[in-house]
Amino acid sequence: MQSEKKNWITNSLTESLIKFSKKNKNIVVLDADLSDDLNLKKFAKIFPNRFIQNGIAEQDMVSMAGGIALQGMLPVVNSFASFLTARANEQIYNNATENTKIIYLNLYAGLLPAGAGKSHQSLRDISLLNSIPNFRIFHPLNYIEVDQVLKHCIFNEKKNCAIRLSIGPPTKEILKLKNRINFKPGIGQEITKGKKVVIFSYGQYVLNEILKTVEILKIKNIFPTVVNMSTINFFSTKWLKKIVNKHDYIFTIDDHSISGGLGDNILNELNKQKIIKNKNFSKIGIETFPECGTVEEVLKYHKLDSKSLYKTLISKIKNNR
Amino acid sequence: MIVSSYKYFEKIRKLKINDYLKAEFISDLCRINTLTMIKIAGSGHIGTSMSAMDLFVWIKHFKYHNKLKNLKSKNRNIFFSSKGHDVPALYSVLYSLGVLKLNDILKLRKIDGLDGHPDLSIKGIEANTGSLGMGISKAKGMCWAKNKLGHKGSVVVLTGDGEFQEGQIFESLQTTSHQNINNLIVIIDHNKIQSSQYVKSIIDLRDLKRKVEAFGWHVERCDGHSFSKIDQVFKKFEKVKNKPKLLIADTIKGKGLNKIEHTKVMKKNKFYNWHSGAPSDKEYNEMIKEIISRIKKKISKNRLNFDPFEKIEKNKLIKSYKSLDIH
Repeated sequence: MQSEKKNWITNSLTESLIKFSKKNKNIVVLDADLSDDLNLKKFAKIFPNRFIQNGIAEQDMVSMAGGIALQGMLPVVNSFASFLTARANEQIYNNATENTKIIYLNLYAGLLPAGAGKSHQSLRDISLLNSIPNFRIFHPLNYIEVDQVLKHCIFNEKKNCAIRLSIGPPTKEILKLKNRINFKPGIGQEITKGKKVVIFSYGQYVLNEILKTVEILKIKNIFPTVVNMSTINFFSTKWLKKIVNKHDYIFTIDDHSISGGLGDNILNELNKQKIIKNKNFSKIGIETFPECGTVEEVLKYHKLDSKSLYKTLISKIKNNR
Repeated sequence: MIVSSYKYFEKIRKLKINDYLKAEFISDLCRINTLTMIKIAGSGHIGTSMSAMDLFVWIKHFKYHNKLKNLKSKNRNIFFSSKGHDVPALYSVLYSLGVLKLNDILKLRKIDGLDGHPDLSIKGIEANTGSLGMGISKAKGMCWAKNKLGHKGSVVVLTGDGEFQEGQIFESLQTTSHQNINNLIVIIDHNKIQSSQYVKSIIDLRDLKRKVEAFGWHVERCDGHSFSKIDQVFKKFEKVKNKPKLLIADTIKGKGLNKIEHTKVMKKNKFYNWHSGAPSDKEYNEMIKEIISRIKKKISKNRLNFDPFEKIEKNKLIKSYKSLDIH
């Protein structure tokens, strides 16, 4: 069954983690009994002495990771994003103040799948980590990018990392991109090259809808540039300036609360760099508690399905023509 | 007033008296310095600093003699306080070991001085603490990594008793024993008072020994101001290899200072008013006098011929007091 999941982000993460753990002997994985979605049991089987099952005790797990990091090892900490970053937020903060490096796996990040409901959907994890100064937050788009992001976090990044992981099978449009994805920290990747309109977003669910929206917009002679912004909270200023200056309409679409997500981070950066002037900026995200339902139902409810996005985008563009 | 040379503590360590008596002298001299630090800062957790002092002195000076040169050794014994607000006492002990300098301890809670709660940027500090409940988990991680990496040394963590109201404590008690992390020692500074009231009146800890034992720990209880009893417990712990260990150290909040010992304060008052804050000038002078007279008595009682005050500078405080412009 696992081989069928080869192109799932979650499965790929574990395969990469095993691969990199062979090179970096300092990696230790801690889990709060949510290893099934990642198939972390495979890691535990290969590295039984580098896997810590800590039970459903997230605060204890995060502080334990802090102690391990103080001894010079590299903890990789796994739980659902909603539990890990919210319940153990103070412990994450405390670890961060010690300037060690820890990688947090924000599993089941974002709105979808939505069957479990609001206790499990994580729409706050970015905002909860954003205000910690030494944190890098990523949301890889597909099974290839997750390998690249993890590699960066393990071998190159000096700060703490949070990797948001979408669970479930890859979405249709994203599957088509396959190995066209090439991760660079702080720099988004243009999936479609267009003009006038640029859309910054991330994650396999929302970007899937955006790519469908782009097809509909073509009929109206609108050709947006779509950017996979897998780096959520820091940007190459040079790159951002360049891409923003090429367009008139700037959209950010978050698979997260509209407050404290990618949209706010980009807006803040544009404001700081004084490149927001004469641009039409719109921020799209989730403004209510997340709804429970099927993927299609919930995307539609939150106006993040391709048709709703089309309507939102066209209204903003038209209003300002 | 300040004991202005850490070398003086070295001298006490070399006296031909038993370790328990040495510890008593060091503890009281550290009390003088802690009081002075808090007085200069204008704030600091005075009650818990005094209740934890004897434990700090025993562990740092006699159980694990961590000098400046082995602070970075991978095989060092690690000690830290989870509650963290007792750090003025820990700083004074680190000073007495030559780890911190006089200039450091004169700048408690100043921007270029020592933080109000432990921070790794300060020499001798092993973990950032102060937010309650995280210490056992963190110490457990250190122990796990030491075992994994084959590093020697054990880990001792001090907690408060009020701290045992935090849920994370019970997560960590449960996981530590399950994960067989048996090189961990936890000490509870059981001074019975949290902030300004009895722990038992805020949320009673009930039978703490049985509770912790039920989590799979080896538990001992002793007078946390008796060096010989603390020593005995540590010796017992060395023999227990198959369980993590916890000591309930019965202490007195404000120990060593008549005016602020909780057992005395709570006879007169409903609330303990010395959890934090600095003494007035008058109170400060009385407290220092009390410690000095106790030291003098101890010297004559034991017929020792050394002057414990040769390195105590009376003017030091006045000078720094003025230069820092604090009233």
